[in-house]
Amino acid sequence: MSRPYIYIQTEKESTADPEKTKNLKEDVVQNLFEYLEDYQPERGGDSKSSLMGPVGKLLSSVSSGRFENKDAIVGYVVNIHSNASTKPLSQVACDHLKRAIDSLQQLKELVTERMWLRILREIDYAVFLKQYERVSTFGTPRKEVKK
Amino acid sequence: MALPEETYYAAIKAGLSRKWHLRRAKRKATQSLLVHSLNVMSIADSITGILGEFDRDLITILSAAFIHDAAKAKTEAQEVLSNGKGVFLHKDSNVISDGEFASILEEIGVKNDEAVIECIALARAMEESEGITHLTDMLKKSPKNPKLIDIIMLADELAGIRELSDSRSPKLERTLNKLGLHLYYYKVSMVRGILTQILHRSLIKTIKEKGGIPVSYYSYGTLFISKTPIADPTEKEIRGALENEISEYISNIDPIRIGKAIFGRITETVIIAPELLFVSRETIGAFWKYIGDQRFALNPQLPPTGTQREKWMRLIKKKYALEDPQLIEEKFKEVRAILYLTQVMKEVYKLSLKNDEAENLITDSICEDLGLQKSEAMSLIPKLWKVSHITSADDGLSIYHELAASPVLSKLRRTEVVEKLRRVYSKITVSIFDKNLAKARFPISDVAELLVGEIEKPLLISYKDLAKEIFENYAEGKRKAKGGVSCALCSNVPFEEAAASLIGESEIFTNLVEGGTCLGGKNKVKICKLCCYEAKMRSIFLKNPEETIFVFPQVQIGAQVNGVWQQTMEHLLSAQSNGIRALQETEAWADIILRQKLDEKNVEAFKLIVEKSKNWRIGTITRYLEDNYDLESPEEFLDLFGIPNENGGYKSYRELSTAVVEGQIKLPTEIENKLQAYSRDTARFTAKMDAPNYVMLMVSGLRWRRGKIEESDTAYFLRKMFLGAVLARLFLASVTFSNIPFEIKFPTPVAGYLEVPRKIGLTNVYSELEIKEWISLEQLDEVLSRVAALILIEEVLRRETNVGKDALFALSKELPGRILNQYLQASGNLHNRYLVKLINTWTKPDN
Repeated sequence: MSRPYIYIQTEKESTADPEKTKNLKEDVVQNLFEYLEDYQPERGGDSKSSLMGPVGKLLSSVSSGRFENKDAIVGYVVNIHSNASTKPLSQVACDHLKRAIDSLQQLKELVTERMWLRILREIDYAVFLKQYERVSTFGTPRKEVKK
Repeated sequence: MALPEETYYAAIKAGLSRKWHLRRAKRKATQSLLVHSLNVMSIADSITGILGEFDRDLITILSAAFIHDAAKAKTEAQEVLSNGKGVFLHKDSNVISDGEFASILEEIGVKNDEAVIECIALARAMEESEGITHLTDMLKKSPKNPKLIDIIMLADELAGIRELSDSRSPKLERTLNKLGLHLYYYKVSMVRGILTQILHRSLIKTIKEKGGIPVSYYSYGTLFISKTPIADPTEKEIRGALENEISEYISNIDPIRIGKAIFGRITETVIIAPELLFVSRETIGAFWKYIGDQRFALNPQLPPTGTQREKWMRLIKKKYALEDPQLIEEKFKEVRAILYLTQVMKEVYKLSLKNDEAENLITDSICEDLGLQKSEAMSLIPKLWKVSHITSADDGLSIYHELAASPVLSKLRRTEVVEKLRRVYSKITVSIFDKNLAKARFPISDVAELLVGEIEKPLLISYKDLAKEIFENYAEGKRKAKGGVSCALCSNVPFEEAAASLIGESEIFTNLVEGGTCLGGKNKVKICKLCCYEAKMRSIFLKNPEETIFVFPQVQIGAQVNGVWQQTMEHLLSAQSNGIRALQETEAWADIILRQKLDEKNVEAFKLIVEKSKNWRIGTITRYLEDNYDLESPEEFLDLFGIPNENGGYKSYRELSTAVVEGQIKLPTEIENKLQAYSRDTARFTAKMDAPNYVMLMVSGLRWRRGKIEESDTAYFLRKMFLGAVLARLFLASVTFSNIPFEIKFPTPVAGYLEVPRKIGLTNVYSELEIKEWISLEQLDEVLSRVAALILIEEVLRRETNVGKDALFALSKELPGRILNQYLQASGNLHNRYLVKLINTWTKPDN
């Protein structure tokens, strides 16, 4: 009886410069965090997704590969923003968003698939940490829910 | 000016505020700048003491000694010291100004202008000229009394001796000659624990008697100075001193502690330390008191089910015509308790000479105290010596029947019978001791002889004889090959099979058994006599400790600074006597560190531990009251001792204990004292510093347990590492853990504050914390605050959710945002800034 062979195909080592990856990651986190300053949810909640707003959606769409085009991603996020936030998106916040998406795309080019998913996870929680810190210090700018 | 003692504390405070404890004093990272400066201060103090003529200048000398290396705290100097290359000028006024010196001096209490100028001049003049600026500095302000420079320079040189056997250098000889002083040291080959402390103590005493003044202590030796040369003490002198020291040491131990240490288990080895039983009448009394307090004597239980139960029930029912199961059970308790006590007595009898005199003594005593005829006693005694924990119900019952039929016992109730018999046995044991019929005595001279063999300097044996002895030891071990050719712990002549608890239960620590096998059953290794006695001595203070920790000096510790260690240790011990788990409360220590309360003479720190230990203290008092006062209600207890009950309405002992802890009720002093002893035992921690050379701490209960769940190994190791770092910071010393309970430490150079406990799972955490084998001098505070934050994060999460047994370790690997999300999901709290701060401290220590 022939035995099945198991091949372990190792992923090609990433050639990315760790310093550059780190800088890009920090850049994404910082820009997304600054973008979130303009995000004021209509109905605040005590969960991560409510704190992260469109950023959570952005990261999950990027990780799933739903959009490749930068403009499509921006449009997707802007649409969620305008539906969920009481504060309209300013030009400054929009620029932050675009810069974050730029850096994200650069990052994706640099790293392997496995690393990419890990980096996205790190970015997600890093933005969340910053956002929680902001909320715990300054409070949530929530709109009163009409009963 | 301040008093010398105050100067030391002020110096420590000034040094800590300048982070000198994180700076190197020498190129090798073995001693912090703070410890070095304090040592120079302390040695200069001792030299001034022996010279006697400069007492008026003492504070000036101490202050100048403390600041002499102040410039080494500078970043440039540290770079040079850590790179190991280059030269750094550290006396030059371009490097360190007079103002900088003056500000340190002000903090240690030197404010007078003239004294400040003199101290600075002394500090600058201590080394040979470093260059033109330094030379100008020295010429501009030269010290009034140049002899003081010699004192501080000698102190500096002595404080720089890393290895005692390398303590001779031409420069040092010159300075010694100038001051008319001589140097002497002794050295031992290994650090065992308590026995080595006794050895240190007796050697220090012997050399002191010969005119030596100890100036600094090493873990493995002591450095002395003297006015006349000191001749090596002879073997006889050392042995005599050692025998006295051991006997004094044992007689000074609380007999109650010894009493407890003697007893093993009723179902295993009953007397595990026979040598300690016949130390004194008090230890015998304490031993029998402890036996009488055991559950097997007070309240033995009938097996709940099974044939044994049925057999006992049937036999008692038949023999005593009892029908009521409760009465049968009551009878069983009496029978079993008497049999157990007799079993212990049998073991004690085995330790006597077992000659006619001993037998007559026992017969007479039984006749007299139990009212038996001599013939009855003589027929009964051989049966008593057959009792064991596996004696069958038939035999047990017939022996009991014969014993209980004595005129004295037959009139008493169950508890009285047990008490009476305990007293009789105790009296017999005392008589054996009084009449010198005991076989097992603490072999003081044997232990002294073996300990003398561990002295490396003065070498009391010629090299030829030493080599011969080593070979003979090996050959003797080889002859009795079973269990190893040498002691599994220290390579001496094997003597006794070691219990697994002494040397670790896995084979990994020894190559004396088959690989892959666990120690136990017949698969045992042997240990030597000294290791065996060390284990017995340690068990007096804490049985089966979870951890044994050594606090060693950072190379050496000055004789005068040693008081700081003493004080810290007393704080820890008095805390636990007051029912505080001083070492086990790692959360309290974490809080203390993050609130930066560690440097405030320990008082503030201990206040926080008291607060955190409140629940534990309440629990301890409750357990003590429940165990010792079988009363209907707490009110009855208060009435019994006439304690005013103003608030009233205590429904349980727990409520009463809470009132005691909160200071609403004051317990009588006698109960307070008993409670202290009880707390001390339940806190399960002990610290030994019988000699000033090192501190040995034994601790249990560090790993948390909730029901059947206990903290995982990896998480526990992380917690343990934190505790070690706390101790290093408290004592300003180097801390190392024993990998196995009775590991012997050989003097090895220290390389920082803490030799981290190794665990494979922790490799990544250690690399995240940038720790290698040791927490280096520079890293200590950062590691402490980061791990403190992690411990408190775990505490915050544990309050909200079930974090599991591996939480501390799991959190250390987790993304900070994810930790926060875990908390948010459990609590719904969006505003916990404290947690965010903790997370930031854990992840970003620089902020």
